[in-house]
Amino acid sequence: MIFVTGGAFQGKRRFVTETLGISEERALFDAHEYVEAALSEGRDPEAELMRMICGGAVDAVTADEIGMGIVPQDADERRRREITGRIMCKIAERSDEVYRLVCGIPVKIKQG
Amino acid sequence: MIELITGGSGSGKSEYAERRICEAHRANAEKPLVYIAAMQPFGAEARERIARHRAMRSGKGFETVERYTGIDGSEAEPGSDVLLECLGNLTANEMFSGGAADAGCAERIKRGLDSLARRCANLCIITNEVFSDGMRYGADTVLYMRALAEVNIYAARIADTVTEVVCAVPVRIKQAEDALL
Repeated sequence: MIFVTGGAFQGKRRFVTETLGISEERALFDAHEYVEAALSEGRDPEAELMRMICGGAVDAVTADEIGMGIVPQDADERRRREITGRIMCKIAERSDEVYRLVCGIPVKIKQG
Repeated sequence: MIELITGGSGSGKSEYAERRICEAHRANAEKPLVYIAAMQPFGAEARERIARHRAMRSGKGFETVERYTGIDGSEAEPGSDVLLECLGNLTANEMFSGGAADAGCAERIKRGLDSLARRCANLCIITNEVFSDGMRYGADTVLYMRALAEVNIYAARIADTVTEVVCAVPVRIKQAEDALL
């Protein structure tokens, strides 16, 4: 399993499909949005995502880094940001390799 | 040689970039050393920042060219060493100077960077990391972020070296094998 993070619009999806050669069907893109949707529907994003990842349903996950701004004033936004960050840590922990994209360049930050 | 320098606000990108272009210029000292300023002096904050950058550059032999839009290589004589600061300002100027947000500006900027790169002996380009705060911005700001990201990715592709500056520490994230700069 390969986890790809980095800021918004850095070319993560293209890196997964073109550089790593992983098909769209075997990848979960924008996991931060998955977390947001699950939270807003009262579901448990961590359990769902970890089930997908540990069950071998995907070979790659991408997620935007969203934690490098000012702490949001809104309590729900704060919660979303915190939960997203914690889940991304767990995904990275379960991943064999982790890349962070900067200006479209993949920087390998974890080698299994 | 081309180096792209990125990093957060206040991370020391300018100091690092000046050092790099001045180092490269030592071997090319008969040619001009040019600083292209893309920041428009709007308001006290911008003026203060510009004054700080001017003070940092003073005595280092830079010729300053102010060019807020339309970078096309004509800013420098062929063979010059150039420091361009920065893509964040340049993209904002290109996108919003006509009033409505111009989503096509990224292509224009990329062509301009190509022309400039062909003309320079050494080129350092400064940009800005603004993509990791998880904020929800309005449509124009999202257009801007997309355009800047596209320009950054392009600049990183044509660069021999890409460096992310973190707390004034340069972290090399791309290094072409034959890069001398």
